[in-house]
Amino acid sequence: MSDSALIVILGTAGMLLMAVSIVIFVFLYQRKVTRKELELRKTQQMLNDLEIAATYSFLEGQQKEQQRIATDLHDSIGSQLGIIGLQLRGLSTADKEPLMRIEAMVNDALKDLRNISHRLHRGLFRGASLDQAIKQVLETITASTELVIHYQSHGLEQNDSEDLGRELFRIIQELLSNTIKHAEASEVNIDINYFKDEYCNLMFTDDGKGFDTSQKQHGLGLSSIQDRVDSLNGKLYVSSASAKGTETVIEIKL
Amino acid sequence: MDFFTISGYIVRASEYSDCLPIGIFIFFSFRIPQYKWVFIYLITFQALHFTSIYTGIQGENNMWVYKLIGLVELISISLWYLSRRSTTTLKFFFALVIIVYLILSYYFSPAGSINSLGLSLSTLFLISLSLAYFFWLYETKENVDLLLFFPFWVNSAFLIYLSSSFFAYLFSYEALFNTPDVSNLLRYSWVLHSMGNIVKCVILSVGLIVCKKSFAASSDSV
Repeated sequence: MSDSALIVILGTAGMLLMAVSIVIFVFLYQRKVTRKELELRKTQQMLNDLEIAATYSFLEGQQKEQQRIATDLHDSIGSQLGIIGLQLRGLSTADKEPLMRIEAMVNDALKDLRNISHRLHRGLFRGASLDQAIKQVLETITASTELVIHYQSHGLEQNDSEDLGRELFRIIQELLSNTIKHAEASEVNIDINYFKDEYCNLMFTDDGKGFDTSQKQHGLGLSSIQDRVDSLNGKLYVSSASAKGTETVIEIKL
Repeated sequence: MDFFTISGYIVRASEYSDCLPIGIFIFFSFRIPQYKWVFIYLITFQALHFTSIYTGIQGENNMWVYKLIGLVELISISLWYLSRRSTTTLKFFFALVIIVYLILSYYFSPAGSINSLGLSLSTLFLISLSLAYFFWLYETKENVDLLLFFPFWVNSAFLIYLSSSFFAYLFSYEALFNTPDVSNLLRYSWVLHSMGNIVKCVILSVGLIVCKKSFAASSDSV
């Protein structure tokens, strides 16, 4: 091989080697960046889950505390007021009018106390407090994720059933969790309609990637929702298609 | 078209090719202080190329221009790397290579030669800096979009140019002392060097255009 040929071969090989090194560098660097982004996303997801779980715990703790205060009010101050009322009735004085006035005041106080106690004991999942609890959870999720949630409810304040309220709350919680974890959705719509002694329905839609509903394996999330709906003698309808989002409808006869 | 005609065109194109990134540099980003050494390198390199053409036309021995080009290349490219990442070890080797280059240039470079030993040594040092910069970039930077990151383009351009020049410089030494067909070998060496230079200028120009937007909000100090 002549020296001229050797220089061309070596020189070109050197240039190509460096060009290939640059391509390999870009490939390795991009792989590293992608890996870091995945780790970051996982950490963010974990933080979001923790924040949402903390909100649920807070709501449950709040409910327990309310029930404890209600029990204390009823058992302690309520019974003391009752005893005072009884003793007032047993007093014998010439002028009965002031005593009657005091007795009426004690009875009013006892009545107010019972009302407060009952309201507190109604719990988190009855009446207007269910609506507030749902809104509180949605606020937490909106603040910690990029999900836009539209929520509407009608007649929920008429709900007297603690069981229905609790199950509805858990179902919404589960549906939201599924959407955040799997759907890659940007928008969610939640509609609840409650008609006393008639029916209650919940419609939950997202604009995520959807899934194939003909597949039997939906994971624990959906089967847990099905169990909750069954416990309320309700019906669950799920419709979804790839890239067309998911619509979940729950109908419960009251 | 024979090889001599083609190689003539390549060498001629290479002699003017630095004008392209210089023009784009002036148009887009010459105000950006962190890239001043790249700009100084390009403009000095081009000016010396013009000097070599002029002295060549005058029939003078213009090898001193190439020795000067080698020195400018070594200083400006090294200073660009040092402006990115400066350590005592790098500074020490930088000073050492300059001293060795000057000694080789003065005492061991025959009259009419281009100081091929000195140039080979300095090119090897610059290739090491370039590879080390890639390694450092990989190890320390996590959120950089490489295609919009001008130092990545600069480093790639230098690496390809230096790797082609290294063999050209090395074989120039061989050509002067041991090869009967000196002119042919020198021509091949110089064509290879010119091709590397053209590739360097094209990469730098593309990099400048691609990174135009990032210059607007330029505050990177990598």
